[in-house]
Amino acid sequence: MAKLAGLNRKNKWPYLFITPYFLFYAVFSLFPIVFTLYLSFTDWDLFGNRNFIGLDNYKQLFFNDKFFWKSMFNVILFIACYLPALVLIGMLLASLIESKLIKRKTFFRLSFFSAYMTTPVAIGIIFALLFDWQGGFVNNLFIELGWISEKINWLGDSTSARWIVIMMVFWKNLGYFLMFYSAGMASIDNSVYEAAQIDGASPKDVFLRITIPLLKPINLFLIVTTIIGGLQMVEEPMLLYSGWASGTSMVGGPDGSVFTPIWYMFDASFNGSSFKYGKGAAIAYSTFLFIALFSLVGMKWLNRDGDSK
Amino acid sequence: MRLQKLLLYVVLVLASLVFLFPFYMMLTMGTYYSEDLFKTLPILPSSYLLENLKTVVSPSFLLNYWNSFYVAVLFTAASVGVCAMTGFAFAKYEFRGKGFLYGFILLTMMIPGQLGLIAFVMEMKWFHLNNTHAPLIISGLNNAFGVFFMTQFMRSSVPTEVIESARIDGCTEPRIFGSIVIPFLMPAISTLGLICFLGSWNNYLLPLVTINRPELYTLPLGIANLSTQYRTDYSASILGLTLGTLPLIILFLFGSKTLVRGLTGGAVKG
Repeated sequence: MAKLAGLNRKNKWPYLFITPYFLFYAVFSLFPIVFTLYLSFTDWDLFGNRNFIGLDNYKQLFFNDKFFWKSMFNVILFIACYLPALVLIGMLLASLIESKLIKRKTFFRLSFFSAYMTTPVAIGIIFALLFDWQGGFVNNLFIELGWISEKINWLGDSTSARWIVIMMVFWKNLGYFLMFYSAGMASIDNSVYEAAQIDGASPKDVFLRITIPLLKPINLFLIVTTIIGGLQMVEEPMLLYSGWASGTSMVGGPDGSVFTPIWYMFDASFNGSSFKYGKGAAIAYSTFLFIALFSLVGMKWLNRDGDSK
Repeated sequence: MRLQKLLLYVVLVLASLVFLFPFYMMLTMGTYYSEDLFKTLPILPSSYLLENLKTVVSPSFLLNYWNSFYVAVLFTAASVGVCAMTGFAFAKYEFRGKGFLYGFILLTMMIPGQLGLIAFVMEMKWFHLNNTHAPLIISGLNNAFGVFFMTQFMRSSVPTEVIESARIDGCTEPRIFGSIVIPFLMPAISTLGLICFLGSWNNYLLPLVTINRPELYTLPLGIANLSTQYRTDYSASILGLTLGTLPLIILFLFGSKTLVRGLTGGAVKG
């Protein structure tokens, strides 16, 4: 009987310990998520419209809104450019840094990681200033070197604007990828490498047949989280075009070439004259659909790749 | 072998120089007189640092700094506290619904943070919490990753025997948590704390949509608006960026091992 009482006493506490979390979650996270879904079926805005309009927001987005598709295309294009580069160059650089021949590993790790430690707000602004049309460092340098005769409006052209965003994300995240690969390589047992060396494997073979397969769980994690994060990208292009460089205060960059879905959501819901919460909510949920789709496909693809080997 | 080694170093040094470059530019551009910034190539540091400091370290900038700091501290404390408590229950108790609830938390980790943002902002307005720092701190209270992290850590590093014997000695459950479990948790607390602090310090979007009074701005907002405050004085504004990054660098220098372990831990262990 005493034992039972003890159990009962014990049973009250775990619920008390988890209550705050679930309470906060329900009020500040679950409710907003569900309510945003409801909003996406309405024309709710700041000016008093509260009408239920069914799937109209989604129909409008999917069939009549070139901005939505353009922003979605942009982020997918960006990911397609920087993700393979991050994975390949990240693994290569990490294996160089972790090689036995290199002494000052911490210095190299830190110098690549410095970008990741820079406040995201600063990154957009630094790149805006470096690529500024009139007085930017890149233009001044290229003229000094005689590579160009006239200053180029990097941020005003849609192609170069896209490359700048891709570069920015690559620059920022390489250190993050390196950190994961370094940690992963450090956890690989040294005897595996020694055995390969005894068997006469070349560095290339070691990299392709030992390092890459053993890093697979890390790659799975990095690729899936980068896709999820990449589809939600917003701060980098937003701050690139926040008006720091000459004539660059525009939504979405030139021709909307660096517009992103979440930026569109912000612009529709919180900016200027629109304040269309319903439309913003529909953009949020549509983006979420794409995120779910892409991360499922990504996980499936990576796992199947592993099974066949 | 020697040639190979030299080649390796050349490649690595060149690559790290390229990667340090924008960061380095941020540091040097802050030391220039604004007019000179666009006439020359600001590669070497100049001598205008103190003047720029005087310009940028204004009462409003310091206020932004303070806002960011105290919001980040409260955000971190709230987040880590709630996560530790919840993780304790999941790791050290058996109770009905545990598997389901833990699975639910793991599932919510997959949901992107922006999904409920519009309704969250509306909700904050209904509670009359817009134009306060409360939404920024509240957003730290449901950190699914933190609960997962704490539960994993507690399962592997807090011995159940110690808890059992404390219980036999008549220790109450909150005291067990407060004075026996917490000391074991210090490594996890510092790691999760660093990650939370970083997230709060860098947060730009949430304050952007919930705060529009300059005296309540956090640092990222203040920095983004420096350009309109000193439209002509670019160097001073860039120095502001450096000052905004400074705490992160200090945190990283002191906690790099903890931070790296925390960030990579889940994925590397698999």
